[in-house]
Amino acid sequence: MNRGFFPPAEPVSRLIDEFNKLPGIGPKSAARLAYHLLRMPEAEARSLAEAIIAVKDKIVLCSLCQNITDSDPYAICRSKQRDQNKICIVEEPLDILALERTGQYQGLYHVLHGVISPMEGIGPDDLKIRELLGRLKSGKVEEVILATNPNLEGEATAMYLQRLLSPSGIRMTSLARGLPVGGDLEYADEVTLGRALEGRREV
Amino acid sequence: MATTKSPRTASDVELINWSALREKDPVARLEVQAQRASGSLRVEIALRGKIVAAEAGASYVQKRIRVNGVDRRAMDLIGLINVVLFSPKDIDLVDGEPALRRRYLDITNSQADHRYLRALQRYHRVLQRRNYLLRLIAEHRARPEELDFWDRELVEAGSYLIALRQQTVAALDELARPIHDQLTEGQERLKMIYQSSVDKEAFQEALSAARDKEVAQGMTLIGPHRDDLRFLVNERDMNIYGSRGQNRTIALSLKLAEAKFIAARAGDSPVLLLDDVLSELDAQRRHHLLQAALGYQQVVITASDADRFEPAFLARAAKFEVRSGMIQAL
Ligand SMILES: [Zn+2]
Repeated sequence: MNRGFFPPAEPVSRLIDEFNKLPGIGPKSAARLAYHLLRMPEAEARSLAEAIIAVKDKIVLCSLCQNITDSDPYAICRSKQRDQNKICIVEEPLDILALERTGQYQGLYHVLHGVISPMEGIGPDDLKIRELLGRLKSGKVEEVILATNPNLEGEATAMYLQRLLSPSGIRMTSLARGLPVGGDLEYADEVTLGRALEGRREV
Repeated sequence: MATTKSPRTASDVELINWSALREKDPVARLEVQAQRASGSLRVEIALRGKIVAAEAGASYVQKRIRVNGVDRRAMDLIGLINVVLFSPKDIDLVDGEPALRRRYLDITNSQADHRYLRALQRYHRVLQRRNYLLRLIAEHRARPEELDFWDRELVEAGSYLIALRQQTVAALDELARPIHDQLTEGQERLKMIYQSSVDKEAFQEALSAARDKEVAQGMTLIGPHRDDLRFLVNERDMNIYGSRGQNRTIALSLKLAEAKFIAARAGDSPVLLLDDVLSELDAQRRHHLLQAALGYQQVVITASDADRFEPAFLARAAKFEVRSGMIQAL
């Protein structure tokens, strides 16, 4: 006998559905989060909702490094303390956080927002490479550090950039081996990543 | 145990007793004690079934592998306990599809060499991405220059695979020849040849030459994934001309040669498992096989009745009987 299934009230089930769309959140966690919010004081819930709207309203891509920022140019690009002669190329904004945590790098960054991936139909034209070439035209940059992830897609992207930039004569380096193969920069610990930066080699 | 997979079942779920599958937490456990030249090993594999009742066949199995009490990945187990299994199905190696022979060489090489396994995994990842890219190029959604990286990686991993397979086939060929001579009383001269779809020294050139064709077909047409292993007897290709009996004996010579090959590379002798093969052979070949088996350190032979063995052989063996799922020493 089917005893029938009574779904939660519509606003609750809608919230559960929205949570369920987030990475790493299954239906059970989504329901748990939704009921947690229901018990939350009104002010806290409002603050969370506003924070979500603010990231969509106020966040833009930095016109220089393409990192996500609320003020263009991004703080690192504006800073006089940073070494303007070095640009470290990363796949995603989160990689900048990982590299900054090491405290070992004082140069600038450039975010590609992806990586060459034939399986997902992503080619060089889908990445922020044109923007990078524009930045390099100034002639101030002396070293480009290729810090894509140590997997096939990351290596393919690094090789593409290396071929593209080699006529410019700019020194090109990549992070030293020692990062777990197939792993993401994002998950590497500070010590390992710091060492990989320190031991970077010419490509 | 040697590969963490069962040769008898396609899925790990089938290894768990069928009636236990309907219980809340079905499990199967397997434990092996092995003595190797480098020391003793205790390998445990525990399977825990998870049944998703709503969708038929959606049950899956969690596998936990421990070596001397320490958790390991399945990949780490390869090469730890070396086993050479011979079953009646192995005749497919001689008269079946080329993919079976490539798989055989890949397993044999991976057991002896971790670097081979890594190169093989990388080759297949590169191949898959390269095939996607070929199709994107055909649809004008990517440029041919984007192949450069994937070509380089395909050549690097691929030529290593070819080189190692060639070495292995040459070694197996040398070891199998005298064994086959013995089994056939000198009637059949066996020759094994690795037939590559590409000269590994000119792999890149061959890829460049094949590019238009590959783009048109949307797949990689040369490389170790297109290679084959040929068995010649008295210079005739057995994949085409071999009789059942001839091909069965070739498969047996190959497996006996493989056991010697692994012993030489790993430093100690693998366990030879001859599963229900005696009934398929005539008295003469059975006699020579059992003679050859005496030359190996540990051999496990299964047969449906003891009459298949010669008394002189039985006198030197430890005998067990399997009756309704229970094993008893005789
Ligand atoms: Zn910036």
